[in-house]
Amino acid sequence: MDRDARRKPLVVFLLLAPVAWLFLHPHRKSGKPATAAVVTQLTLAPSTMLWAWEVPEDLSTLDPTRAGVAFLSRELLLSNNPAQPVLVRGRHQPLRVAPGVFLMAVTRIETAPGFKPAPATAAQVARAIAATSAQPDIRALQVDFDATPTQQAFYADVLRQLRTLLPARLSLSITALVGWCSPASTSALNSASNSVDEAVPMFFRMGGPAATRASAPRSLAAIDQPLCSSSVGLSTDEAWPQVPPGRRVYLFRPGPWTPNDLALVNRFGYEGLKPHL
Amino acid sequence: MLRLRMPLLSLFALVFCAATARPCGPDFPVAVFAVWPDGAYPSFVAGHVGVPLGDHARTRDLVIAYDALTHTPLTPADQKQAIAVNRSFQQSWADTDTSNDPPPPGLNAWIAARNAISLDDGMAPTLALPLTRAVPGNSYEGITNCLDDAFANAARTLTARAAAFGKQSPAVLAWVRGQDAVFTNCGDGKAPEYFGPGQPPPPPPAPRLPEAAPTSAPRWLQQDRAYQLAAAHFYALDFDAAIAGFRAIAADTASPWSSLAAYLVARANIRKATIADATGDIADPDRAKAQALAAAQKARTHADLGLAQKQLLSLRADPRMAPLQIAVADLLDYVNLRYDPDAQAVVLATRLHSPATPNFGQSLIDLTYLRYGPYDEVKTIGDSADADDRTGMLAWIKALTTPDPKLALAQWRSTHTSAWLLAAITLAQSGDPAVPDLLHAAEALPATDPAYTAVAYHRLRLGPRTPAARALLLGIVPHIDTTGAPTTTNLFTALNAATAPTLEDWLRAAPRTPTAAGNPEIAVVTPPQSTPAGDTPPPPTLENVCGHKANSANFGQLFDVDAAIALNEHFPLRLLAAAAESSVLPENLRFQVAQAAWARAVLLDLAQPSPVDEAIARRMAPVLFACRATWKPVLDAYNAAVVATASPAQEADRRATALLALMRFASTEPSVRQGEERRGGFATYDEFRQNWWCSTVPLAGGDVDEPPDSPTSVELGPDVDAHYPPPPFLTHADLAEAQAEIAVLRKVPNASTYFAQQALAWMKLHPSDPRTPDILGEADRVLRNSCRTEQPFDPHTGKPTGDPNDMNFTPNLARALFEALHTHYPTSSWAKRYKSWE
Repeated sequence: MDRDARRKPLVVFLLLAPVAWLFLHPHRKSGKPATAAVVTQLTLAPSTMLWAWEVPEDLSTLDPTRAGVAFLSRELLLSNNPAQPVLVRGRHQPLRVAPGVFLMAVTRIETAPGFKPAPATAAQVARAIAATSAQPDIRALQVDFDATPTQQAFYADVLRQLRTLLPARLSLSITALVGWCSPASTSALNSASNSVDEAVPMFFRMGGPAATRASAPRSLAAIDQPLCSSSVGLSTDEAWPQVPPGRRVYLFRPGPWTPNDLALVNRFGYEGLKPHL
Repeated sequence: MLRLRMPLLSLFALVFCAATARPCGPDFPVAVFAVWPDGAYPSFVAGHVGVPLGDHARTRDLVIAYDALTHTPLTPADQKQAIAVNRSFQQSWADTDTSNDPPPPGLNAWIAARNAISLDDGMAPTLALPLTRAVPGNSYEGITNCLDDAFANAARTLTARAAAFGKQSPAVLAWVRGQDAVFTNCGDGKAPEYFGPGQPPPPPPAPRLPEAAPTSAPRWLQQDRAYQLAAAHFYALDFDAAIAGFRAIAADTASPWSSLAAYLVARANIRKATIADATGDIADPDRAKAQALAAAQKARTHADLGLAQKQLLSLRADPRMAPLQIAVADLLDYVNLRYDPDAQAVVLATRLHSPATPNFGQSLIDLTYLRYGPYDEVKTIGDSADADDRTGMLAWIKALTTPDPKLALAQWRSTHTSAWLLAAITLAQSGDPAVPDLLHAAEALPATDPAYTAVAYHRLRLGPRTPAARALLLGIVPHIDTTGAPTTTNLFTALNAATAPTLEDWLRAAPRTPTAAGNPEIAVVTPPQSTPAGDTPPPPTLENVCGHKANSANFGQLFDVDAAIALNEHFPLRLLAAAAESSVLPENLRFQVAQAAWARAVLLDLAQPSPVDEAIARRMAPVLFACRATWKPVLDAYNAAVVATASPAQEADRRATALLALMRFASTEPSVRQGEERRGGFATYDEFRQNWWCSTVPLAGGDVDEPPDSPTSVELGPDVDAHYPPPPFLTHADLAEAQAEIAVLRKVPNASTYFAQQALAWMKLHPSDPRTPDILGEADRVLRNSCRTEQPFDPHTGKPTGDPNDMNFTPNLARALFEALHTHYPTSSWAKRYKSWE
């Protein structure tokens, strides 16, 4: 890190001292970062989770002991419309899963241009997300929101309120931009770290030249925050970083999962879907 | 009832962030030089077909192209619908500012009409009225249960009843109570709480039914109440009861709801067919039982849809249903898409090929749905549809998208149409036996034909790369249609580069204007949106890499893959230098080339001192600091240290200044980039460690940010050399010279490893040189910000492999640099700066 960047951690530490211990760790030499406390439900999750998005999905042949399913349950559009600041769109495509599969209901949040966060909106958003827990066999919730820097304090508020609406045994996961998890991260989301059990850094669709982005493997060295260190998000059509054992891998596939995909996961876990680029 | 089709759009909404214009990861601009359709969509739908590319072309675009190519272009009304459909497919619901959007008109009208009635039963509706319901069972899906038209209808009816009978009359109040009860079935009722895994879900709420009207009630109320009861059953998902209720009303010709009820019988059958109860079905752990259940369910669905189709056909023939014919026709399309997709595909193709189709837009959506079904890989339209389709559209689309060159060729030979010529020549490869025939036909195609530009491109693509071909290209270019289409310009410019007889001709054709930026899966460039202060600023667009105000002349152009491969792998250093000194290239690209030439010259000279390389490095200096003045002191120091014949002391001096000069700016890289500028611009660090280089000379199609073992060239295919041959003006000697230089350059590891190893070697030889702490310190700075080489580990056991003391591994080099600084130069500013080795 150059000279100027050295000042940043000191300022961050002073500002976030009450909760900073969860995210900052003193040594950057080589040791593994400290992990946050893990709630029981998520520890039962398989090491492979398949993201099932807004397409008809038949995952009934997926072996529940090999993989779980994080399915898009709901989308929220946040805007400044005074009459309807939170538009809710539910899942419109069927999802079939085998009995006993670890199911995680995902809520995707989008914001209309010019969206200005408001406290009342945070409460409404939290309630809308919490409602996704009232479906059969849900073991965890996940929130997928690419909050911009000025939206992050609002997002942290949503997560704190959401946590109070959920029973303690229901785990809460969020997806994370890789930059939130980097050593230099000053994300305001740090203040909500007590509300969240897991942040999944997404190592795909990170931009770059069109012809080469898919095959440029990334490095997990960019990840330093403890909440981001137990999992990783990958895509079946982009090169993967080397994944240390013990990480939960969330897999995205452009398009629906095929029976062949599921058979490979059943046999080899997430490694069965490693792209050969 | 187009609204029933709204859920179909969700199949293609692709709301997952990766597929919208808002990628999940950091948002970097990605230059794309060839997309189809290109340019402004209105220009495309008006008939400027351009050059159809690839087998991933979209159905809707191929329909429009086929119409243009077969001389049945879209009418202005069809064009308008096509533009609206394209926008709806491409835009996320988050792309427009909905701050000032009015509430749904039907619901809004119902709320107003209801609030005009003084009835305080706690049931007054608001905009928060739940409108969606979970589908029963374990499919985790929901439906938009109550559509806006239902509320509009209720508002109109209440207004009429209130006007006729008085808004506080007991009968009207009873009507309102009944309607309130109907709409409580729109949602799932009280939100259930979390009930945990392995627990049965709570039972769905009991239907809330309006009370039966007493026999003493006015006739109008009894008729309205019958309708409300049937509607309540419909929204409560009790479709058998709804069907029975609506049937009875349809049979009562005196009821004002008779016609509508007949239509709603069909709608209820469709809902019954498409909202399957999934309880205990194909999720059964007994696979054979699950498959049997699924098959039975599919058969039931098909039967119910067949019933709905019969009903709708009957309604279509009923003169009594004249006011509802559009609704009936739309619903029939909905049913036929699922019940008889092949026949419906033919109907849609016929509509789309006819002028002035009132439902052109919906037909585009429906055909897209048919072609891509539940899985992208499966095309749901059978071959029989192609045979029955007299327009030829379905077969044409299939030939291009499968791709099926044999089909295209056979169709061209039998029809001799320019549309099929285009398909056949698009799918042809050099060396195919049919190519001479295709080229002959292409030559005869008049320039006025809508297929001319695309056919001409492929004619040149397939032809030999000879001086005669270049003359042909230059003769054709004035006749091609580039209306609003940068892709067409870029494609022909690439052909120009591929046939360039001189370096100067090649340099004129090398720069290309990107046609789109952002996620390459989306051709439309999303307009910039205002971002609040403090949010990540958009990528720099106001300055080019030289810090000058950007315009199309000095920033808008980049190298495409062919130019980058040529410069990086085929040009010897002396021609790279000549290219950098030429005034033909725009400023930003000239800087890239000069920087690459300078870095290569210095690296080659470090590997093996060479007055030729030193001279080239010196020649690049004025080009570099004309762009960035901060280069000057660095290059002046280097140039002063470089002498033609060096003593050992001078040799050391040259080495030290060379290393320091290479390490000075994080943006120094020995190859040009394809499709982009360096993300961090000049000198600034990239926070993702893409500083200096991971590879000196990347594999074909790659860039310096990728490690040398990146399999990028595999993505470009094993025939990358065939696809991107060297420009013709390069001689065998030029190419051999380039390969010899590249062989040396590819032995240089990534920048972290290279500079660390060089610095440690320098220290061993020159421990007392005053520059040594700086060389060590700068190497450490590079290592902390550039590519890493980690010790690999076995992914199954987690155990590291290889020699843990390997001095190619970044952690080992980091420690060595740290210990060198702290042991031998503890008072240096670098030792004070770096308190740990990582």
